[in-house]
Amino acid sequence: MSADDHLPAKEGWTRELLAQRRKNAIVMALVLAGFVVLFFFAALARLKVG
Amino acid sequence: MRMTSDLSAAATISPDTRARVSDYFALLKPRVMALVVFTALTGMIMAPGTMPLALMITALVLIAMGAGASAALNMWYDADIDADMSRTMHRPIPSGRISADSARHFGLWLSAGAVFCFAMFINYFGAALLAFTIFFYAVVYTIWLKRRTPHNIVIGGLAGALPPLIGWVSSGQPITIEPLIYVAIIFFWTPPHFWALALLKIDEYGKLGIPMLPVVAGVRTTKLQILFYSILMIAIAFAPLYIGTSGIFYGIGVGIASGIFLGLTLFLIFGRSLRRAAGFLFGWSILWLFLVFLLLPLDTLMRGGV
Repeated sequence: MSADDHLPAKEGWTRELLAQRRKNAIVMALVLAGFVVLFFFAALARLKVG
Repeated sequence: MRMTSDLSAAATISPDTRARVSDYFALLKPRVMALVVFTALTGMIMAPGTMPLALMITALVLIAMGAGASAALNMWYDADIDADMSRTMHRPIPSGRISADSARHFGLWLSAGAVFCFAMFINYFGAALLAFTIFFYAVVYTIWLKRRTPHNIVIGGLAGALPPLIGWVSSGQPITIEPLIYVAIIFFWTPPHFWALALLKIDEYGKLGIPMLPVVAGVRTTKLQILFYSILMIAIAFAPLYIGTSGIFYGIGVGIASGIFLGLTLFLIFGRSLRRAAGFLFGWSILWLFLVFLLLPLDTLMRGGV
């Protein structure tokens, strides 16, 4: 179930549009999570080298 | 003559361009960004040792970029509900001045720019914390929690609480209890601050089905929860005194500001006008946080530190 399913339908927000937004949100979440992981490991690596 | 007028025409920024720049600037939630930068600056100043001014300014600009990026991503996802709330309906996306896709791309590129530049110019750990803060606000709070649980702003408040820690880490110092206290102060400040706003906008949140605490648990429970979190927040605000990193000047300032905060909370609970009391508390809560994070470095300065 998506977070929007229990909300009243908004004007102009079709199922397809909501599905597209959900897909974009997943991509965004993965990209941002990637940044977090990348730089935490980079910081760890530097700590070990240091 | 003609060349002069051509040059002046080229140098003049058209009203359209100015309006577009101002719309993109509005996407960054500049008022929230100002508070984020201010608390991060306090974290930087309070960290031991001295940080070169140029590095300090660079870190603050990048933290501001990160905060603005997460705000743009929040506005992209919330465009549907923003359109139906009086407080947010004039934002650039619901009013049609910026497309949702443009806002998302802008937010993502700005996030990437802020985090990568932080890694390059400041340090990797700070970059990771900045990325985590953006992730937490845009994904955990906005997408996951906001529309699902009345605890949305309690858990989501962590994103707004991290800037002093990022500021501290920017200086290259190891994390001690001090920056964690600053994080805790903002974390416990967030619920009374946002629930005061939610009490003011209870009808709109209810209509939209956003499960803010006043909508789900009622006005009375929200008032008691505000009192509970305010007491916790004030107790933690005094923590720098217990551990000896702040002195009597800070203690007196925080004591007065917190006395007013508690007074307004009691006015909210026992007073007759809910809107007036919630409005006062919301306004004072912003000033309270500003004062606490101003008093921290001022007190150290007065005792001969910084």
